[in-house]
Amino acid sequence: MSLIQSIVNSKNAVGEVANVDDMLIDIFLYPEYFGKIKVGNIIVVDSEGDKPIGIVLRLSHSPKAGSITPLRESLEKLRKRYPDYQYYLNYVTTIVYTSHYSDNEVRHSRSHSPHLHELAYLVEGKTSLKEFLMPKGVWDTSFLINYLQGGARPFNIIEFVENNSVSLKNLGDVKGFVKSVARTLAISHIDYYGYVINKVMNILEVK
Amino acid sequence: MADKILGRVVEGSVNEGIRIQLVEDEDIEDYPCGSLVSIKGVRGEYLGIITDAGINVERSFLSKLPPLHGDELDRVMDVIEEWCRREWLEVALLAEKRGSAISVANTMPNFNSKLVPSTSQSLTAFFVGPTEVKAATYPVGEPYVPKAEAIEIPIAVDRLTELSFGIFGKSGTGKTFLGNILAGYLLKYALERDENLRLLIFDMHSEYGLELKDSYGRPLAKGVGQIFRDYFDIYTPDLDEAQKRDLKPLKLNLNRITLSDIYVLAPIFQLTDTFLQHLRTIYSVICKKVGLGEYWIWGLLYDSIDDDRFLTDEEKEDLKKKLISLAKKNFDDVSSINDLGDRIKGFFDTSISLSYSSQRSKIRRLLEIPHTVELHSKKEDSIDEIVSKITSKSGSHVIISLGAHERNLLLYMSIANLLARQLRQTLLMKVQSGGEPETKIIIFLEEAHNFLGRESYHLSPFGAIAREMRKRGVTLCVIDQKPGELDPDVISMIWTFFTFTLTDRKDIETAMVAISNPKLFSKIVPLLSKRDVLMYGEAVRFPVVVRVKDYKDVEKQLSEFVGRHRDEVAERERELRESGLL
Repeated sequence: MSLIQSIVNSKNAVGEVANVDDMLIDIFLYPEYFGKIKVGNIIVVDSEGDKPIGIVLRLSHSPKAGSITPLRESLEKLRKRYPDYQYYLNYVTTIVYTSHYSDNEVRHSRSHSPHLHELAYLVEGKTSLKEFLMPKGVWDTSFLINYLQGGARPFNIIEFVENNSVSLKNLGDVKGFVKSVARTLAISHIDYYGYVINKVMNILEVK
Repeated sequence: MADKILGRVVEGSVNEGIRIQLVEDEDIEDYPCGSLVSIKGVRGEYLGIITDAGINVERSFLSKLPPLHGDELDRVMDVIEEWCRREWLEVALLAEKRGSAISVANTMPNFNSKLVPSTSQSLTAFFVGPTEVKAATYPVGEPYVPKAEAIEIPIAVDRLTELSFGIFGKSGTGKTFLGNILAGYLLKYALERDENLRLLIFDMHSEYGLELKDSYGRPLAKGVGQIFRDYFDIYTPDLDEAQKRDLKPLKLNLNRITLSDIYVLAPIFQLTDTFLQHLRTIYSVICKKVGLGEYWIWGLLYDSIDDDRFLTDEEKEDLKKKLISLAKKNFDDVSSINDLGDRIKGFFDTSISLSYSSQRSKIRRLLEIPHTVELHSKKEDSIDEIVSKITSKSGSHVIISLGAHERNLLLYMSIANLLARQLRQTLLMKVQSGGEPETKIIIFLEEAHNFLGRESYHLSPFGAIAREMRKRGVTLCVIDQKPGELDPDVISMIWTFFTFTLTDRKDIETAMVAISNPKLFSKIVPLLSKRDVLMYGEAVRFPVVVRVKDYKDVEKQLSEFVGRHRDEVAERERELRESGLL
């Protein structure tokens, strides 16, 4: 499924924009998707005009009431006793606004700010990932500069690769991808980037 | 189709050279120093030569690689190498082409001008001008041109016949191969154009006159003297070799040794400064006061006549009688060779006498040279014969091969000095009597620093030839492995330089003295491989490093030429005979 196809059906939305603070966008996640979203996932917001794209930096949830009352039960038993318990909780993910979709292609720069309540979609699958990582047909990981700027740490890069590794491997030329990542990390003056690259190579089984 | 971009001009200057940054996918190992490169400027095309190459790295990148090591480090380095390195070339600008006009580069290609693959058309445009078109059959070798097919670089042989040239390089780098090639081309040129050009080749190791040898001394190919056998007279002081190889024996007439010869040969004789200071007095005494005149050298050798292995017993006796009779004209009491010695010594004070006695034994080495002695009638003299051959229209080219005496510097220098002086005198007499030299002469001189060094230049007849004889049609091919020891005046008279690898700083500086940007080119010279030569000067349009052609190929081509030429001459003669003109 292509990137734009992922946002055609609003039933596929994983959440909606809850807060925007410069590079950081909080997405209110629908409870059923909370367990599916991982750090490093790519999220596109179906905004009017250009579509902002970000990468998951943080996941959090908290009680709507402000605090919880200890119930001394396992989560499994609680789910049985209170099937709607998750509606008392806020599921939020913070994404870093790194890119946008415009004129049928991904650009690794920011465009306008999304509006609150605009729907957010998870970008997954080989085709969408290729559109994001190879917008001009060659590896372009410059979005990582924004990701790091927005607060990501070198370890988050490893998570990004880990959580997209299956699709990445399917794209082929993973060594080219690693080279591109390495270059971006160096430009971003990341300490011990050699360690990160080595980890990335291990994950992608680059010899 | 747009040219592939190999790199970009990022900084530099016309005088200091320009710096080109290679594009990422280029491999710096494809760009050896000395290679030619093409740069597309905004208004024209530039030709350059790589004088240095290197890699800069972003150190901050490398410092962040730890704690990786071993295979992990290798793997990561492999990934980052493309972008953490900056591969650059330092290029000396040689020429520029604007439209069809080609000139020495005196402008700088603009910032971000592109390094593009050279084409054979553009290289031809730069290196094959009108003179070289005529001389296109004289290719010396191919330059290194990354990412392109090279062309053969021709030399303008006519320029070599007019102005002195030099072949420099360490031992075993290919000087003699190139010397033979150039000599072959000069002969071909002369035969093709019916030029009265004569070569006089001083051939220490018999590699011009006989065969070129490999590093083990095994014959490898015919020397130019064998390829053009019908056109050369090959002389040798090695009398056995002369008989074996049908060469002409070369014997010196020691009467021709002059005072200045002794000064030039002094370092080889290891004569003391004191003796040299007194030599003029000693000469004057022997020559004038005792009266030996042109037999003066025997005043130094008189007591060694019996040991002379080149004279017959009869000649020895006649020589003694001759010396005694000459001395008798001034002194009645001289009746033996010992009396002659006493009479000479009698003129000296203690200091001169001591010096005379001690140093004479060193000068005895002259008798190691095959020689004759002039007695009752004028003796056949190889030197006269050779000079006559190279100065007359009906003469021939001459090679003097030392044969087994190849390490005998004394012999080599004596022959060369005597010959050079006689040649100079002959030409001067000709000119002074209102005539013009009949031939152009090129003298190939190996180990030239012995004759044209700082100390010997002003004493040696070769110095005088270099200074005075160019306008009389005599030029030199100076061949040496230590150009730094040549007199600066000699270097200033060389117009085309062929420089093989050199490592001594002074030698390199000397060999680069006539090139623009010597600092840049000096970097190339120590890096040249065997057979690679940096050529610049009058006979080449722009400085260029070439790999000298395989000698075997040249030998084959020249041999074919000689065969063709012989047939053509025979055909012409037949036609003339048939038409009754011959």
